[in-house]
Order: sequence, then C-alpha cells, then structure tokens
Amino acid sequence: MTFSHSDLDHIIRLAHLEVDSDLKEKFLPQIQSILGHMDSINKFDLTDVPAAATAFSVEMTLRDDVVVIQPDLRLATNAPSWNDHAFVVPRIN
Amino acid sequence: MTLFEPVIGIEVHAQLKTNTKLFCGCSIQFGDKPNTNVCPVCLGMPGALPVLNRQAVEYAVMAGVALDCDVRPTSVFSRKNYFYPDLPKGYQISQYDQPICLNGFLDIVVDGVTKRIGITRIHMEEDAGKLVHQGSDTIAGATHSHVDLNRACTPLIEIVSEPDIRTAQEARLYVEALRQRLVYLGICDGNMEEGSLRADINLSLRPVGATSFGTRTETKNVNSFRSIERAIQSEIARQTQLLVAGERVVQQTRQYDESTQSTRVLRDKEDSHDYRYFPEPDLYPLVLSLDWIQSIRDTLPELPHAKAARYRGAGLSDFECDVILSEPETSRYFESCVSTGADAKAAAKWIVGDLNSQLKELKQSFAESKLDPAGLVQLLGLIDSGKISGKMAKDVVAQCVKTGHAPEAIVAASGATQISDTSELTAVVDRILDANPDVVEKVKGGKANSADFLMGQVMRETKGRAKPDLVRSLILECISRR
Amino acid sequence: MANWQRSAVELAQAFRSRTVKVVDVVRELWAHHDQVEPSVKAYISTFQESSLTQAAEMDARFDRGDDLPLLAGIPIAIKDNIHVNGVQTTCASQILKGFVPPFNATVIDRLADRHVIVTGKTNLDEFAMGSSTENSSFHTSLNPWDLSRVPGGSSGGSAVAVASGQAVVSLGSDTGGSIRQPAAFCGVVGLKPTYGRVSRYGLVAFASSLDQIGPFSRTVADSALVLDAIAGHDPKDATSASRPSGSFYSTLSPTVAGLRIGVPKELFGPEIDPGVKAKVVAALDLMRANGATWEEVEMPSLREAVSTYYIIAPAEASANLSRFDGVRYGYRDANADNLRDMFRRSRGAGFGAEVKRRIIIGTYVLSSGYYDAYYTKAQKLRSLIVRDFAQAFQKYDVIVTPTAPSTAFKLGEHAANPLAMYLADIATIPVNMAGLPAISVPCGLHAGLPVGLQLVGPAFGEQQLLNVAAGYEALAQFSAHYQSPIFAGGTHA
Repeated sequence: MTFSHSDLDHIIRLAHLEVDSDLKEKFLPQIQSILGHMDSINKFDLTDVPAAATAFSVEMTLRDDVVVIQPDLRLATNAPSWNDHAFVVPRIN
Repeated sequence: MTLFEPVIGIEVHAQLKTNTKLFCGCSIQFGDKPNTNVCPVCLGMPGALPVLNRQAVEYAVMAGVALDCDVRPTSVFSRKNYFYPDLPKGYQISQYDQPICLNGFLDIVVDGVTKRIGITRIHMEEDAGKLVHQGSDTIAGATHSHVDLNRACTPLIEIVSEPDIRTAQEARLYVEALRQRLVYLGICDGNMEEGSLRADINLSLRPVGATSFGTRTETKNVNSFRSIERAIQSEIARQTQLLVAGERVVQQTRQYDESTQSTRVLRDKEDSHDYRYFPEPDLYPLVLSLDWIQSIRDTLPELPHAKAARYRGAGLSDFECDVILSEPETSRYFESCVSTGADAKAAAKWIVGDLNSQLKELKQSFAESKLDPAGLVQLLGLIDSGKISGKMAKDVVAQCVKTGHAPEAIVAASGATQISDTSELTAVVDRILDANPDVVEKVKGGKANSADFLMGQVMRETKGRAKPDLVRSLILECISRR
Repeated sequence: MANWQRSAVELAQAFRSRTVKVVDVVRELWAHHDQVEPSVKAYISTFQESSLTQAAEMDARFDRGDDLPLLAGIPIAIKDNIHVNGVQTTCASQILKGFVPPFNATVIDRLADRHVIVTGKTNLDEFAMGSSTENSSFHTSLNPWDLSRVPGGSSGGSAVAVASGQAVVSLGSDTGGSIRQPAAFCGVVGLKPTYGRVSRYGLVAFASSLDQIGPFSRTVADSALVLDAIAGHDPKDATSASRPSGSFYSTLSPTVAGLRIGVPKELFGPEIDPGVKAKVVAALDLMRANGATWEEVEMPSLREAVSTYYIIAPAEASANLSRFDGVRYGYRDANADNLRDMFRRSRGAGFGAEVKRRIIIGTYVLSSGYYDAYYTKAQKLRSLIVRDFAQAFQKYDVIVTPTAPSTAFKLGEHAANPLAMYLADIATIPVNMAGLPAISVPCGLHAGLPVGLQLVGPAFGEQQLLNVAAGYEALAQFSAHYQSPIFAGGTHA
C-alpha cells in the first residue's frame, strides 16, 4: 500500500493542482515517509476506541431563521472577472 | 411477453420553505438580482463559518415524522468534496453516514391498490448556486458562464426511496404523493418549475423473478411529473434494447432532454467523483432531544391521507377527495366551510364543480377566491331554504367570484329569488294546463315526457325562478285533479 | 526604558495618569520600527498613518477622563490570516494577494471595541503551514535573537513583532504549535486558548478542529488582558463555547505553592536537546523549591501525535483550501480558456510547495479506499490522546513540557527535509489534538537562544493556567531577563 507515482498524479488531478516534475520527485519519498509513520500506530489496540472528529463536543449553536442584511461585500473588486453582477468563468469543457 | 422488470429508486431534493439559508442569514427568495442574497458564508469566503438554521432542522424532522421515519437523536454533517464554480467552498455540507432520518415509507394507491414505497433515508444539505451558460443554450457550445450564488446554501432535504418502484406510473404517483405531503406540512412549496422539488431517477432492469440487481443508471434533475414518466419509459426502452441485443448497460449518469423526450449521457462512471466524505469539523453533531422530536410529532399538521379518510367518511367520493386535496388551500377552504356549518357533500359538490372551474378561468387559487368559505356557506343556505334553485346558484357563484359581493346581496339585487310558494305556483300551473289541453291529455294517457313540455312552459313563464321539483309535483297533482 | 518596551498593563496606567501619551508611544514605536524592521521583517503590511490618527483620538479621550478599557491605545500586531475589514489578508500566499475582506474577524471587532491600535498584519508561513515562517511566499522573518535563525512558525511575524519591540502585544493562530513554538524561539509569552474559547470567525481556516487564535506578549498579565478581550461565545462560530470569560486579568493570582506538576516522559527523552531539557528542569526545580511538586508521567499516545496530526490537519486543510479556485477572489490564471485548466493553473501557481504537499497528503488520506487506514485511525488516536490527558489531569494540576525540542534553528536548516521540521512540533501538537489550553513562557537561554517552557491546563482551565504562569513569572522575572538584542538595544545585533 505504498503511495506511488500514479497515486501522486491521481491525487494532483483530484485536488485540481499543478505540480512541476521536480517538485513531484521531491514529494514522493517525503509523502511515503509521512504516511509510513502511521504504521507505528498499529501497536495500539484501537478496536474499541471511538474515532474523535473533535476533542470534545459542546452543544452546537443554532441560528434563528431571520434575514440578515449584508453591507457592501466588495464582490466586484475582489472578483477576478465580473459582469452583469455575476462571477464570470471560462467555459466548462 | 415481458422479459425484464424495472427496478426504480427515486431521490427527491426538496427546498425547505425557510426565510433564510441553511448556514447563514441570507434570504432564499427566488428571482432576485444575481449575487444580492449572499454573504461571506455562502460565498465561501476564507474565514467564514457555517451556523445551522434551527427552522430548517425542524422542517427536516417534520418531514421525517410525516414519512414515518426513525428520526435520529444524533446526526452528523459531512463535507462532500468536488470542484465546480457553483460550489463556492469546493465542498458541499451534507450528511453522509449519519443522516437525520432513516427507514420510513410512503403509501401510494395504484389502480385502487395500496403499495408501500420504502424510504431509506432523509438527510439535510445545502444547495449549490446557479451556473448560467453564455453564448449558447447548452454547456457544449458555451463560451463562458455566469455564476450566481443567490441559491447557494439554500436548505434542502434529500429523500431517498428504496428501489421499490416498478413502473413509470408508480414513480409519478410516488413523487406526486411525496410532493403533496411536503406541501401540506408547509415545509416546501413544491414548485417544480422553480426547482423547489427535483427528482433523480435510479433505474435498472433485471429478469422477471430475479432477486439481484442489474446495472443502474441515474437520470438527474427531472423536473415535472410528465418528465418523470417519460424519462423512465425512455430509459426502460433503452436498457431493454441493450440487454435484448446481448449488450451491457453501462453505469452512468444521464440527463432528461424534453425536446427528444429521452435521456442522454451526462458523465460515465470513469468520470465519477471521489467525494472524500469526512465529518464537518465546523459543526458539532446535531443532537435532538426525544422530547423535542415528540413535540414535533404531536403538533404535526394533519396529512392528506388522514384528511382523505375523514372526507370519505363524510360521504365524499374519491374524485372529490383528490380534487380538494390537490392543494392545501383547497382543503383549507373546504374544511372552513364544513366547520361553519355547511353539509360536507354539498360543499364538496360546489367546490369540486362550479367554484373550481370558475377559479381556474380566473387563474386564481382557493385562497384568492373572492367567494370565501363564509360566502359559499351562505349560498348553500340559500339553496337549502329554497330561495334560489341550483341552476340560479350557478350564476350567483360566477358573479360572486368576479365581484366579491356576498351571495345574498347578489340575489337581492337581481330580485330573482326562487318562487316556492305553492299557491302562487299552482296558479301558474293551472294557467299553463288551461292553455295546453292536448298535452294534458297526453300526460293522462301515460306520456310522462309531455310533462317536461309543461314544465318548460312554467319555467319560461316564471323566468326560471320556479322551484323545479315543486313545479313537477304541482303539474302532476293538477293534472290528476282534471 | 522606551515606551514601546513597556507592557500593556504599564502603558494603561501611564495613559490614565497622563504620564505618557498614546501618540508618543506610537510615534516612538514607528521610529524603532524604521530602525529594526529591515533586519527582522516581521510585517507584511503596516498602518502607520491610521495608527497615529487613532492615537490622537485616544489621547483626546484620555485627556477628557473617559473611562476606557485597559487595552485602549495599546499597539497590537495581527497575524495576516486574521481579517481586518478593508485591509488585505494575504495568508502570506500568492493565491490571496490583493484579497480585501469585507468583514472583521470577531476577535478584531472585540479588540476594536476596546480601542486597541492595530499596527499592521504580520508575516506567517503560507496558510499557517509551517514551523519557521520560511514558507511565506513574500519573505522570511528573522529571529531578533540571532538574525541567521528562524523565529519559528507559523506565527513568526507576530512573535518577532513583540520580541523586537514593534508591537506591545500581537495575535497569532495555533494549530499544532504555531503560537507557542515561535514564542519559545523568540523568548516571549504565547498562549493557545482551549479549542472553542476564542471565535474562529474571520480566521482563515487551516485545520478547523485544531485552529485557535491567541496572544503573544512579554508578560503573563498582558496575555490575560488580551484573552479577556477576545474570548467568549460567538454566534457566528458554531464551535465556540458558551463559557464565562472576561476576568482572567482581574482575577489573575500567581500560584506555585501546592501545585502538582506532571511531565510526560515521552517529551522528556532523547528527542529533546539536552540544553533545552536542562533549562526546563531548572524551571521545574525552581517551582519545586517554592512549594510545587513535579514528577514524570507516562502518556504513551503522545509519541504518535505528530504522525496523527500530519494526517488530520492536512485532511481538513485540503478541503478548507478548495475554495481557492480563482472564481470569486484571489489569483486567477488569465490564460486558461476552460474551467478545469483555470482551477489547476490558478492553484498550481498560487500555492507554495508546502501547501501543495499538505493538500496532496490530505486529499489522499480522505480518498476512496484509504479513509479507514489513515483518517479513521488518526481520529482514534486523537481519542487516546484526549484520554491520556484526562487521566493525567486527575493526578496533576498542570502538565509541563519543553515547548520545542530545540532552540531556534538556522534558516534553511530543514529545507531539504520538511519531516525534520514537522518534529519541531512534538510537544505542542498533542495539546491541539486534545483541544487544551497551553502557554509558553521563556525559562532560560541556551547558547544565547531562548528556551520555552510549556504549561498545559485542562479544558477551559485558562484561569489556573495563567495563575501558574504568573506564579513562575514572579519567580523567574523572565520579561526583565530575556530581551532580544534588538529589543534591548534598539539596534540590530
């Protein structure tokens, strides 16, 4: 189950990244090593241990169903491309 | 000879009728100028955080209770990760392995027989924004797209059925019944044109009698009852053709195309997403008290099937029930009439008949009707007391609906009350009999139809105001005395 | 003593007695900044003009005798991953260059209510990923104790600002040690509150279940003062706790006698530089001499915390950084003519190497087929860490460790081997995994470089934690003893 070149390429695609080949070469052994460290956890008996998404749970705040008006959100100035009050993106395909 | 049995499961996405979005305080009003009902949260700005809408939770629980689900005291939100311009965070906050409701059902009636459609689960999730393609009608030809995030983060519940559906008709009935139930709960407006209710259809075929499942396709975003039927019919035909020719059905996502009334490929399995679900760390598990769930159960509005049972008990026909229950406003109208003293059957007759057609012509709902329940009850009273005939009442209804005047006022204004005074009518009958001795002889001779002629004459003489059944009995009585 | 060398508490008194004017403090601070910033480069952006305007306003109010909060007029620097409305937030990344947030982080609103004076946005490792500030895509900040060394990270700039006298206090964020470790490397006080104690609204998320905002300062009292301002439930952050706050400073009570201290064996062995360990032992013995007791305790899960952290944090980060897609803000590759290319090229050009590495790891461990092997396992180990701490706190009032296994390392020392960099966090990471509060205070110099002492408390136990830190401070007088050459001399070493 070692992280392979094709794993790396697949993940780069999935994460919508671009990584040049020099960096990919550097990444591969590093990532293999980091993932490999997880094997040391196998010495713990984890069968009855719950998976904790958070350290502790507090009662979650909910929101009232009341409209909140926003001040200027700087949409146009932050947008890379803006037209007709919409974000413009290149064609899908 | 049917070789194959369709196995169909339907996922319905229903937009909840809250004031604000699922995780922020933006309005979910439809049709506003693009990117005006937005904020840092639903825009996916860095540093923004989701906070759950309490009302949306309540609506989701109501749906679960109304569909006889097990409402889970603890449910967990998850991130569903994929990249698309209408998904600002690059993930959708949804529920994955611990949804809010499990294991419910919805009964439908198919050709008089009740069939139970299982509901696997209901979960809450946020909607995506809208992508409007520019430069062409289809994605394929577009040069660029406009992203409008007004709809992003709108609260949805996804209701997943068991693969219990076998025909296009059952599918349609299921979605109709589901829509009706959600609309009656007041949690969804059921407007399929505006996208408040969308259906995804999962369909596979298997040899009749087999128990394992064939390869299924998913047809997305089918947005009307008719499209549901057509999409299913077309997909059954397509898959049948493939299987009969010895080919395989490919697992894929398809899209229904109204212009060809068939489905076409949207994406193949190879392009399918790896959503990398994991528990949403910005939200703790949603914990609901059993008391609160019970209070929702206790205060749930009466559902259409319960109402139907009550109406049938009061003597209404299945057809009348269907029409009255088609919209909550109509059933509210009907029940209002009955609670102010009207006879159920009489009210139903007028609601389902004349009032319904009058309102349809004016493109009004029962809630907008200028003849309100009190008015209809008044009208029924006038008929009962003999003041107006049924025929006259039809005209009165038409006028009330147009003008908004009360029936009594309209009747009074026309001066055309029904004549039901026996002596007054007897005088008229005698006059007509005197004028038509040969017809009288025919009636005496056994020709009952000739009495109709005499009836017509009396009605003409009284300008339609004579009480018809009284006239008939008087004619026969007077003739027998001659 | 220059005014900018004073603590917030001292300045507050001086402002009220009108022995010092706010405007003078701010002017002197900027004069000192002009001298030293070229050497240490703590800041990404500074607000000299607005700070002077605000200072003048504050003086007018002090002159009038207005009753103002203690933090009024105090210069504070803000890590550049915390939003200040109307001012760019870069997260030290090319992908967010030019992004101007339309809202304040909640902590900034609360500080603004107390009339602090924000001096500027400080440098950090890109998206808070790193332990040296070398991953900033703009420049590296340098350690005021030795300009050939790193200040630590990821909140390096905020640590340097305080340690070099360019801010009286500052805010950083801490996900695996990003406040405490730079505090240790720079010889200042750094506090990470309990998870949920301080709102994360307006903090650009790195790992959502681990991130917290906290103060840098030179004294424990100043730390308590800032915590009072920023702590408290926020309805805009669903993970923020509803706990009473606001009196950490006023009820601060130095405590050492009677304290039961536990020191995890796993963080006191060969992985710790002997010089560092010696200073920590000296600090422990000083407390023992004043009525505390200390002993080693076994907490086996702590040894695996780093590997677990480098599964969980990248997993959450990989999703948190998906919103940087070039659609609504930030950098977009102008040449892409289709959507997928636009996503890939924008993110490819906009993110630095460390960020990419973590996104790749995070995406992988969440991906189909690997979730249970990595992510689920890591979350189970988190439960064990929580349990180990809970058991320890039944016996001890405070857990003490070295903040970092070494003193500040040289620039570029870990460039070839990022994994060695990750090990800089062995003592700090377990604390984030368990969501506990912890504070790093200077406890000595080894080879001329500061050593940090980490104190860890039980969840929401900040009051006692600060009391203990104040108790140690009373004994050790570290803010007087440990001042970087740049701070003490006003010129670079």
